[in-house]
Amino acid sequence: VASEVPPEHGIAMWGAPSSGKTTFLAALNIALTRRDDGWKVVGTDEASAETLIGLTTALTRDRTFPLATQGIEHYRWQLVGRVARTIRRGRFRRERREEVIKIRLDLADARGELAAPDQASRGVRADLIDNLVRSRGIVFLFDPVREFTLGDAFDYTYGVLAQLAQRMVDSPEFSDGWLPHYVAVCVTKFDEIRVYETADKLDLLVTDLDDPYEFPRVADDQDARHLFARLCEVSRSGNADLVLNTLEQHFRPERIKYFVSSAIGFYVDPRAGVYDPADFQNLVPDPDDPGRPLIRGAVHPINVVEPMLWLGERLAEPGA
Amino acid sequence: MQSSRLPSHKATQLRGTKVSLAGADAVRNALVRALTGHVAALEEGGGLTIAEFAGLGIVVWEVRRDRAGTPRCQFWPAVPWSSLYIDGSSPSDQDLARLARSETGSGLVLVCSSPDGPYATDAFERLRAAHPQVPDFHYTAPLADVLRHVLAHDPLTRPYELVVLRHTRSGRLALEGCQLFPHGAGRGYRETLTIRCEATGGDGTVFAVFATEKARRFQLVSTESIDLAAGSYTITAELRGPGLVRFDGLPGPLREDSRSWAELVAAVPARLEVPRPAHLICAVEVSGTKDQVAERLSRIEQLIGAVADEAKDQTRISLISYGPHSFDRAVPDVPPAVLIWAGTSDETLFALKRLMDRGAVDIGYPRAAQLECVLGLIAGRLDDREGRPVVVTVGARPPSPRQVDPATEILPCPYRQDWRRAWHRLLEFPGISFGAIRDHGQDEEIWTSLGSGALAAVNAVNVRRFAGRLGLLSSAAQYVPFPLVETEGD
Repeated sequence: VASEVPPEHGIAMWGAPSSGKTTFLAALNIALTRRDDGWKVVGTDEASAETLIGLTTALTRDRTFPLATQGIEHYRWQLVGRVARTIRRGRFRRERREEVIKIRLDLADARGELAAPDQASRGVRADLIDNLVRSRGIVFLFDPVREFTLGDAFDYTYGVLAQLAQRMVDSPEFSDGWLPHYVAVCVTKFDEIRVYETADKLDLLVTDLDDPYEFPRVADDQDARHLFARLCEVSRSGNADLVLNTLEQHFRPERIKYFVSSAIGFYVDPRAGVYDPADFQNLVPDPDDPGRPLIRGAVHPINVVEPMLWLGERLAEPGA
Repeated sequence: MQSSRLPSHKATQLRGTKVSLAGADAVRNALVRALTGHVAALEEGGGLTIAEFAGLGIVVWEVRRDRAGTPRCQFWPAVPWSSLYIDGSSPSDQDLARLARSETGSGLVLVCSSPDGPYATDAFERLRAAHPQVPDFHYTAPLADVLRHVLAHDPLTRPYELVVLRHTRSGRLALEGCQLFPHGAGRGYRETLTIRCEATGGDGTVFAVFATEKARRFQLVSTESIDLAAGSYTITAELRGPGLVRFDGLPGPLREDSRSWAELVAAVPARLEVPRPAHLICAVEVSGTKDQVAERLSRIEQLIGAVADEAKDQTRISLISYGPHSFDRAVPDVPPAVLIWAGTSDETLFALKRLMDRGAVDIGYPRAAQLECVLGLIAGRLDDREGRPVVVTVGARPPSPRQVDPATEILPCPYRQDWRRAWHRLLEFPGISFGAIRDHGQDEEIWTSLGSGALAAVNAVNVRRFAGRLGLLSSAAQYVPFPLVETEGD
């Protein structure tokens, strides 16, 4: 049985420019392919399918990060998978069955948000707000490394949320003062030393015994939020804490979940086959262009699928 | 008040005499005895004042010992009588006492050198009356000559020693003092000793004399130097007076050396590198630009050439090339290559030529090179049969760390080598020394360690001096600023 989450209820990927949305999408495709549990990302038209192939190939074959794709917000993808649902049969019978669901996946790019309000910027901004208004799930990407060096996450968050609230102020879903979305807040670049070290110093790292690679994770939602708050303290602008507050002021607390993720994951020495805490960096400088990073080893995305599935399951719930 | 040094004989020719020659000698002898006694009694901080009542005015002389115990004399220009006896009035007793500095607490001697002068006689008599216990003299010959004589014959109040270097049991060079003159030695005292000097290449062997005290405090008395050929010298040191030492037995005169004591001490090498078999291990980084690598290899070639010229038969040479680790799955890691181990200079130069033809390797991982693996390789392969190890590294990049390094974020060595561990293993080889030639990079700890014996920039290295500092050439290339002595028991 196939059902489609109402087209106006998709998932929007949102984050500051260069926060890794396209990389996240490519990593999602890789991670879902590895899981082989029926979930996948598909393009809804030829151009979107080809772009997805290109993004994925960049990560796996070329060992490079996908370039920010011009007009990426105009491509359309769907997250397709199966969820178990309990169906009522008659007065007393309940039947549990699997349903295929399709969730629209939008990359909402905030580029131009801070630029002069020229025609092009207004167009991009309008697309972004439209995507967010239509969606009911948001993957919010917070790049702590970018925040440390540029410190602009709040600038890209507050205006958008204020405008989103303004657009939805007359919606019955906003009658209680909360925006109706589910939000997966992803603290990205877990594989980078500074992020990893912060989590380690906070004693937030755990290892799942069932993980064949024995990767460390920040498994718990509250631990992830704690790490997010601590990383906000080293924001270049000092405003990153406002990102956290702004999100929690606009969305219901029970509809926000925090994840610490990495699109490329930690390096695994092929000879050893498991994660080595003495040698986990998965980036190397490009010899031809040392300012540009290359991916050192195989890509092992961490907490890339989980936020999507969490959102997918929430959106598949009746009444979502 | 203006002061100046002891005046010359001509500058003090301002007196006449009325006494007979025999009488003059008697007065002179009495004055010399009095002054000698006062000077001998001078201690650090104390002073002796001689007020001379001369034809032109009052001249005050003062003798004090410097920190080395040498008596030093200075005088103040004459205060003319015309400024004291004005229009028939005479100065007060207080003014005279102040001018003669008779109230300073120092020892005082009064000398009238102008007995025919009415002002001199008046002032002299009034001060003599005011200080009846103070020795006084009528002496008309130049007082400066008497003072020079007295000071020159003042016996030493502290022993004098010559600064020398001595080998310790560990082979290091230690600064020591070799006694020349004991406490109480007087002018003409002589001491003969045998020293060994190294060739100094124009910088000169330094003959530094210092005065010692019981608490081993010492004060430099004189610092002179001479450029000598290497060899042994039997020299005689003669005390010409306090602060004046003459050395006989040298091929020429000593000249005053203007270098500071700190400079001279800093120039003392840790050990005297006598020519003995050495094993020169050259490790050269072949990653970088074509020009960088070519220049590094050129320096190695020059170094080997310099060593071959002087110590060909005594030096074995090894050559190792290294680059970065590969962190690219598609490119296998190439370990450091031992191109030759303990070979002759000819064999090594041949291997080096092939390396030059090959040129730079791919830049690869740009932030580090396999230094840690190179040190591990040397430590594992080295033994002392080939001679005293001398490790010379030519390159730029830092090593890969043993594990993730949050400070540098440099990727760890794939083999988990730890350069510090390898370094400490190398330090266990007796006599090992390290030299580094670097073309760029930050002041990383490893390069400071690798250059602990000699460190130079690739574009400004004097290879002979570099090799000399590492003991690779004959000791002629090593500057030893002070004479050497051998002590019994060594």
